[in-house]
Amino acid sequence: MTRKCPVGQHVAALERALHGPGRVRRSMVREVRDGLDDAVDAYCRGGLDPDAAAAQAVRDFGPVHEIAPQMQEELAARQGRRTAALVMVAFPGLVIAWDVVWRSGTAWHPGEIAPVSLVMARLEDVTAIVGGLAGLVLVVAGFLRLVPQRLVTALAGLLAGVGGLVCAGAAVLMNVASPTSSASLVATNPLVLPAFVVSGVMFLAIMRAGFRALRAARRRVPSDE
Amino acid sequence: MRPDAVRGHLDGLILAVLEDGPRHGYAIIEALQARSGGALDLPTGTVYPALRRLERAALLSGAWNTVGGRERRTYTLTRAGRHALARQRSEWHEFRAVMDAVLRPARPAGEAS
Repeated sequence: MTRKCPVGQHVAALERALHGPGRVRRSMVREVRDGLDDAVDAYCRGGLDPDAAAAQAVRDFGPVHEIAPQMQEELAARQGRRTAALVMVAFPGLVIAWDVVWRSGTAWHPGEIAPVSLVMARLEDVTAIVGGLAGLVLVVAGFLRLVPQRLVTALAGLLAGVGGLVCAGAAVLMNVASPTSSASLVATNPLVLPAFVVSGVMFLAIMRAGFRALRAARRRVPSDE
Repeated sequence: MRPDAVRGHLDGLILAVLEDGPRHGYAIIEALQARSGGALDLPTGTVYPALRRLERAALLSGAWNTVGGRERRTYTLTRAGRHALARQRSEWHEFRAVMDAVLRPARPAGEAS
């Protein structure tokens, strides 16, 4: 057994218990690892043998089931802030981008569009604007600490997930219900295809951020093994 | 000293040990133990999330720097952090004065006059 083994095992168990933005999580784990290595060095300088020093440093640090929830609280706060900011920008941003696309080429002719497509278009716009405003409220609430941070994160996750699914579902239904108009739009306006691709990528990014926020906000008791 | 007794004051204690200059995580833990004469019996792991919480609140700024030839995340007290520390000190003095007054042993009734 090497002298860093108990430290490595403890840090690995801690890392497994944490969920949140990758860069912040890695930075937090690396900082803990550095601190434990410092503690081992200090105990070795004080006369302990390396194995005893590592075991003492891990005991001083505290059990994973006690420390991980405190670190998870921070990761949840940062994930919630990111997800809310993404929703705040992406939902209205997509509405504005599609508005530019509509205005740049051949517009849909009202007679060619199925009524359900018009309803879906309106539903998508309203969802995106309301979602963007809700994202703004969550960002402000998080900064001003008006509500518990885990609640902000959970609500941001729900908002991203539900808003993303409603917008994507409405967009698909809108185009499927008026296939001729959609095909003609793609054929005549060179911006439409890139706009579909960007919208698809944004949908995936929003859903991913929503999933991560919900996972980060979940309370769980991690194992020390 | 029981960890529960310290937990509510950990943020203020961390701000205080950073008052005289930037430190990395383990140096902060060492400073807390040195200043308390070893009486602070807190799991050292609780210091790291507290540092991130204080950083998120803009009371500390954190950055990776080379210290003693190794990359360390060091923390510096911000202007808002100095204000928060001054406020916590003032609140602590008030709290201590109230507790001292209440906890002071009562004089026997015969000595009242």
